[in-house]
Amino acid sequence: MIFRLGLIHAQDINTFHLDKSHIFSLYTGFSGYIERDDAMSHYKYRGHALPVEISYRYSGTNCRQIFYANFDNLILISSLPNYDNAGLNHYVQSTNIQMGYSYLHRAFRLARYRSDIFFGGEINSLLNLRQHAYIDNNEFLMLDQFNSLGLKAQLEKRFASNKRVAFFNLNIPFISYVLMGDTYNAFVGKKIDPLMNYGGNMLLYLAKKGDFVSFKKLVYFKTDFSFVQSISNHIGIECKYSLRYYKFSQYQNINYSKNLQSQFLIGIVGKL
Amino acid sequence: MKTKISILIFLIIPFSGCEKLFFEDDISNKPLNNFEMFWSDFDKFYPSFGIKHINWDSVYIINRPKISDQTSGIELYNVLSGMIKPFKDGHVTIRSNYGQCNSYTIPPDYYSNMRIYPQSYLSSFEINNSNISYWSVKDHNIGYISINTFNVRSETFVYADNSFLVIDDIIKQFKNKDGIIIDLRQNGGGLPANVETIVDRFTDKKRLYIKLRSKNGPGKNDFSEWIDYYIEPKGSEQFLKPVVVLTGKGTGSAAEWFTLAMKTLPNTTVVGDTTAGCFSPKVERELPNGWSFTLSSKIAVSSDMVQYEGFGIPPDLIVLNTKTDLDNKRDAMLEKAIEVIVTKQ
Repeated sequence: MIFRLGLIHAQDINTFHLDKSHIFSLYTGFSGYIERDDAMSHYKYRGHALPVEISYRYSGTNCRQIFYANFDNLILISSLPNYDNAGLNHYVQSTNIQMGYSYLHRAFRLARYRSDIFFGGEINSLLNLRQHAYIDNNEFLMLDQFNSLGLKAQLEKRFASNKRVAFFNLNIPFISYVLMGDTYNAFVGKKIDPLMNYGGNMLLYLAKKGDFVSFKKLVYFKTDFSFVQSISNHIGIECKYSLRYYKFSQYQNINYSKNLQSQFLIGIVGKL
Repeated sequence: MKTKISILIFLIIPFSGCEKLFFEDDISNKPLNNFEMFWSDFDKFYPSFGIKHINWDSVYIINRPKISDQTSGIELYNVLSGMIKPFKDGHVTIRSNYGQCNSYTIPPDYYSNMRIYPQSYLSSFEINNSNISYWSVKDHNIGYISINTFNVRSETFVYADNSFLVIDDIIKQFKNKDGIIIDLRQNGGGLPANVETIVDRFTDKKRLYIKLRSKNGPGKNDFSEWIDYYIEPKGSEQFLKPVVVLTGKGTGSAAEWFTLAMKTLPNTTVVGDTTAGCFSPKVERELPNGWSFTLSSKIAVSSDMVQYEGFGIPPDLIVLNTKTDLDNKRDAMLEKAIEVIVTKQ
């Protein structure tokens, strides 16, 4: 869809919107993370990585469908000094996986500004798995796992040359099924204690023992701004900046984990 | 083009300043901050002040005046070490660049946590598994199993390790023995899931063996409900003849779960010395100066609500190895275990 902009005139903008297209993207770039898990540490942990993201977008006449999957694996470190000789190393091995599907419907067309505004919803699943190690690399496993349903808005802005399109997305989950953390940390309870002697897969156990939460316990948003430049009718490049933040309070609003992810991505885009 | 770049910068600059918006500043590395965080984390997380008769508020009042911004690292280490010494808890430790302080220590002249000349008693003495080894006792129809650790996990999300399933083979090999000795004297613990893999091969029915509850808030009485843990028959066959469990001060944590579980069985006798008395799993925390410490976060009691945390499980028969035994290449504890089984034949 977007790469045909170069072939149409400004007054043909309606034709552009009726054009159904399938767009596949593959991105990589730079991820920056800041993490603080109060159940494990009073300290912020930071790190950066080379993320990988794939996405599929379907543009219908009046709707947009987006599927994406994003993966990161990195080591987070804190400002705390390490003493290698004493076996004191402070680091967190972190794996982040996020997948989402959104369906959006056109709500407004701002023809004068060559822009459209879409509203809809997104279901997404996020896993932030962390292995905290402080003494002798002895690792304690923690995780944040949310399966969320949220409201999503998208602004599409086409530029005069018709070869460039900018997108702005905002997703705010309003209800989530969250998994509780691991048993080997401060402040856990009856849902997690049976993990002590559980012989099966911990993730499956936790998946059955999750809670439905809303804004009171989980503050969560993801926003991104991207800019697409077409190279030909079927190929383009995309630059994207995304920001994701969540704060999840597990017990009495005292045991929380916070995570801020910012990503600069550059991707190749193919249109069918 | 200039406008587009301006828009991009306008959008990105606020994002890059988000850290201040979403995160508090880290607590700075000053002696007083280290002291306060150390005291406060114990105050919030440690569940057993009452059992150990420790008045943590008094500990603060006594030690706080010793700390100022001029306090040196070694002085701070000595103060914090002194604060945890009375816990006598194997899971309460502090690690610094000046050394490590364990609140529970085994006396240097203690000989009851070692096998003494096992080749004198066992038919062969080759390690057949790093976690769990088994042999026959010389001149007797008795099996001997040594479990050195329960701290093994094979997969990221699974606490139980399949290597402990070797117990099924051992039970098959030992099924015609008159009894089995299980040696835990050098077992400092591990994961309870591995404990049950073994004990489930010695029980004829489902039995409650331990109850556990966690701190779930900062208040002194913020505890979760008791959670019951059971053993139950598993594996192709179970060994129901006499069993002796050898314990000592080196038997700690998950090895004490094992001992408690075995004590629920009518055919089991515990021989040796009182165990370490640290049942609760530990958590690790950090201090602003990069030191780390560990503490217990739960309370465990036996099925009949007896609290051994901090005291250890007393054996049914107290037998200690002494320096004289070591000099004479004699393992008095193992000899007693053999005697118990022979007597029960």
